[in-house]
Amino acid sequence: MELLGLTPELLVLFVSFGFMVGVFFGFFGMGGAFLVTPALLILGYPAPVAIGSSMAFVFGTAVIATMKHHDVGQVDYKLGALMFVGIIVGIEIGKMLVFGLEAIGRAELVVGVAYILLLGAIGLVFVQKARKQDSADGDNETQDDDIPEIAKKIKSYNIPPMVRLTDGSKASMWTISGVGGGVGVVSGFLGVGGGFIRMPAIYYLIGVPLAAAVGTSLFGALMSGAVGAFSYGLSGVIDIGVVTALLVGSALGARIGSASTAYVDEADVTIYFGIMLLMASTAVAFGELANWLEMPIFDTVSFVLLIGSSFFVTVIIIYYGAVSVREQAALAEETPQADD
Amino acid sequence: MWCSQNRYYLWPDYKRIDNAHEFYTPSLDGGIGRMIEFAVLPTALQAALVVTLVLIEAIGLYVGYGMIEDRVAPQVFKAIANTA
Repeated sequence: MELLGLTPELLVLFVSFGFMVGVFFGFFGMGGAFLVTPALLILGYPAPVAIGSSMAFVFGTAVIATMKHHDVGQVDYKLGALMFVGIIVGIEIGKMLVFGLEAIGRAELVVGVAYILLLGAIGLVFVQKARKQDSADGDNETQDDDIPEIAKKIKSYNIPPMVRLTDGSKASMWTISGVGGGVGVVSGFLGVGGGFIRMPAIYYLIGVPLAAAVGTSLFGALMSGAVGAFSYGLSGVIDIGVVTALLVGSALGARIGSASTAYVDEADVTIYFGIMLLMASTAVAFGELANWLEMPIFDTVSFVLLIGSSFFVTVIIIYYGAVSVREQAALAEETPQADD
Repeated sequence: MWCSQNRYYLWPDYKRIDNAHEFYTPSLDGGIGRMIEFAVLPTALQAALVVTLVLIEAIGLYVGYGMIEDRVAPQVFKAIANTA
């Protein structure tokens, strides 16, 4: 029996995995697609299918996140729209690279290696961030309206055409297109929303204040996802059953993840997220070894590492959230008695 | 040796992508038309339909889970708070 073209085992797997990815996305604001593509690669999907389906998943997740962020956050729609052309060009270049590599039978290998490096690097950044959080007392926190020095420096070069952003500042169209195009190439090549580089790029290179950079990055992910899904859809490499199953899980997980931010201190779980990304990087490496050495046992190790570490961090976040809810409820019960 | 055609699958009965290249190559069979029965439509329209379908799914899930959250969340929080 199949549903959405998936066996019951795979359906449960994708909904569950989508749930975990949704929790990460809701809690950390990132971590969506860069886990989905490796998972699909490990399961044996061809690289174009893994990336195309992941792009469609990015689109769905970004729609949900932007709808949620629209009411409470800041989104610079004008900047997002200006990046659109760059995103289209970048994604097309990324897609051409994937299909070029697929034609010579090297797409899975190159994309896999790129993921090993990417997940490893981001994992190290998170572990480092967690260590800094442990040693710092939060006395150097960034204000939402601040922009970094490097952004001020870049903004000081007036290379026409200059455009005025929603916050009243000006930025060169070249910088905006460059950011859109650069992130687009990464999105199109790896099948990711690119939030982990788009948000810093908008903040550090274009000089949009942090709060607006987050919302604008989400809007950018929506456009990247739409363009990427359409582009890969033209080549017929989107498995809509996989995308639907993942979305069913992630939409629920994202709600739980974002609700958990009100109860769980991010510093408590950042280290686990970093370690999970490092394990995901190792998982992809095992997947590549399985192919290279023709040793199926490595595929199993790879699968267990990726799903197991994701499951562990999801449980940690929910556990910390539940403990915090209980503590706050107990505190609320004690407070009236203390007043008496 | 690179052996993407001979990949090991975690589920022995998982035959779906054994012929993945045939299955997904649009020039052979209309691509996504194999997954959704609108292969008779032009490719660009098929791709647009896939994007629209994902958009509708996302909005439906956002609204649907929102309604469930409004009803269930207070009880879930209460249940968690009451556990010893």
